[in-house]
Amino acid sequence: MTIKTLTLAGALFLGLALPALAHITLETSEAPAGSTYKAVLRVGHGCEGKATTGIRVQIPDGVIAVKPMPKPGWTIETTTGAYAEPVQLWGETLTEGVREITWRGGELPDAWYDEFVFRAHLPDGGVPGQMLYFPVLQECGDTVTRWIDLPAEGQSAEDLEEPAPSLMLTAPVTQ
Amino acid sequence: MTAKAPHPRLPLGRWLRAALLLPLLMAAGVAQAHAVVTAAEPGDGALLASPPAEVVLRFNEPVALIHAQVLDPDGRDALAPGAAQSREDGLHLSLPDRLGPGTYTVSYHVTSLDGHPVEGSLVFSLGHVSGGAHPVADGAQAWRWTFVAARLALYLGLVGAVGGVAYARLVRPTGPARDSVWQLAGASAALGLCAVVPTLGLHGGRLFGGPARQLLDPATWEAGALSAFGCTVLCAAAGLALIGAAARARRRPGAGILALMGAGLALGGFVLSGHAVTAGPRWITSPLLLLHVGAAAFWAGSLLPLVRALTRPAREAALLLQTFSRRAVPAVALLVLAGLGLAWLQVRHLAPLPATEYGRFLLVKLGLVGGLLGLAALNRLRLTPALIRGEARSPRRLRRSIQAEAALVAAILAVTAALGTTVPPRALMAAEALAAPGPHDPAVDARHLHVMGTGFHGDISFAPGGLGANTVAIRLRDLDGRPLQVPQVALRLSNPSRGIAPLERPARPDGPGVWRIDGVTLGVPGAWDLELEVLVSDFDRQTARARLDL
Repeated sequence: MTIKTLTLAGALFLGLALPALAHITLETSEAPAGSTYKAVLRVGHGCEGKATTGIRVQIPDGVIAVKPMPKPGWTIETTTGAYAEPVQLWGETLTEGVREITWRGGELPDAWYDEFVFRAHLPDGGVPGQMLYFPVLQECGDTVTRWIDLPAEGQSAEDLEEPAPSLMLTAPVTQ
Repeated sequence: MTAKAPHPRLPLGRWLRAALLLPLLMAAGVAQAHAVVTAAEPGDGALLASPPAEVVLRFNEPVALIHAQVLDPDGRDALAPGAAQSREDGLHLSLPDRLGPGTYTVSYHVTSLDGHPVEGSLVFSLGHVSGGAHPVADGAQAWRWTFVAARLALYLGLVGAVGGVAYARLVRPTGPARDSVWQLAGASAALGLCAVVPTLGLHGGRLFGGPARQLLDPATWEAGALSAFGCTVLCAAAGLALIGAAARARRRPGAGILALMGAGLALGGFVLSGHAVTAGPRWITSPLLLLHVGAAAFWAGSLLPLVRALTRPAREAALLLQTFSRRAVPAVALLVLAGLGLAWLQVRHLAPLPATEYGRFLLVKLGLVGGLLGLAALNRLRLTPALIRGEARSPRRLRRSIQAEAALVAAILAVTAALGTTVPPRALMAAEALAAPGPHDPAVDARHLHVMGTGFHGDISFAPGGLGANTVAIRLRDLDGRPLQVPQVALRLSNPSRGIAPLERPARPDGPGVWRIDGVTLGVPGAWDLELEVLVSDFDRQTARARLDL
């Protein structure tokens, strides 16, 4: 057992103790289909040491009625567009809505942590086990880290270098 | 003896350690690290006048070292055991005092605080960028020809065993003649099986390059066995083993079925690798190749049983020869047609044939096949009828002629084994098509690769295409062949068999759909894995993979 191995073992132990610090991820990684979901994007670091100055998130098809939560110090912009197909929500037919949210204007140093929050309605017809991906661009001045990789068939999200934050649908809650 | 032997650098130990750590690393896998190199001395791509005392890599967070290596221009690890140290301010790799001129490739594998493995590489050169003209003592040619010899032995074994099975099925010899066919098939299977292990190791050696003692490194064997060609060889080995077993148990029921299964398995392996299958759509090339190989095995594998058949009483010999002759005509027609079809897919144009090594080998093969067809025609039209008529000298003349055929077959198989180690013209042509409107000078020996991603095609060319500094040109097209404009392109190169972790190189735009990377230094020979990363739109990044054999 060399010092090298011990150091490594220590690093591994820390790794086990502190999961998912480094990526941008969603705080709640599972939610029932057809429910209203509070999405909390957790940003634990900047881009290779640089402070984060902007976050852009793309809303996947089927996720509707998206509303960002105001965030002091940051300006919010939303891009609306047509949904892939019209959806029913509380008796109304919706054909378009928010497809992208951008937070800009603030500055989040690499050493600090922050959260970016929005609310959304998850697809009613979602199947338990179905994955929804919310690709995120993390802007740090003029560099961009793209958390947009989706696992290919047979690949695990853990194999990806910059995975898109993801959410797994569970069975809808029946009343 | 007082001096302690130097610490043996057995890769096996490294494997073991990696195997032990793997479950831990996987358990920790949720956390993804972003330990990145913030500074390196010497810098990536640096050209230095004097040798540095050490390589220092600084990271944005503390890292623990798993493994580091510095490959020298000859492809050997220049780091002494214990020369790599992880200190508070980063990774220090102490270099030996006397470093020769040339290009060095530094690779590091570390874990960051959150336990996720991080790896990367950088290159620096002393005096000049090496490779290309610089003699790399890897004995590539020696590897190549010993590999061709082993492959020839495997082919001979396959032809004898599979051909013997086909002969027993189609010509249906009986009694002692049948026994002798089974004997030949069994002996051929044994020959082929003996060739399997050397073929795998030598193929691995060819992938790695380097001196002959490379064969002592388990990684060489692993690389050989896990390559696509390795799968073909292992399939062939399984098939040969079945045929061998069937030959031993030839008097038992079911031996025939077992042998047929073995023959099918051995032939089926051919569609798993090689130039021929990858030349066009697989639904065309695979059946063509199976027909070609199957018919060739039947014809060539029947020759020795036929020579033996001639020693049988005259009437039996005549009957066997006649049956073979009748079955061989459609087989040879299939063989030649399928072969021409496959060659066409590789070559497309006849003019440049003599200009390439592949073309020259192919012409030699075609010449030999022409001679073989001539002999076959002579046997069928003159000597076999003479035998049937019972002419006194005909068995001897026929035997000589068939022996000459067998010698030609061996020569053809040798050329076929060598053909597999050349670059087919279709690859070179893809090059010219790419270079024609392109911005860079088409070097004759530039290396070209085609990759396909979701929604795009990519042509990657390396010029001059050898070891050392290369300019990489990347041409992107959409599925209709139009130039594809995208915001960002990067290339990642790694050489896992030599322990070189990904070198990432961003490309710069150079015309519509064209990207360029200057000064990509490939320091060692072997199989380089390429990952072309194309940012199709802000939120859509696609990766396409390819392999470059140097």
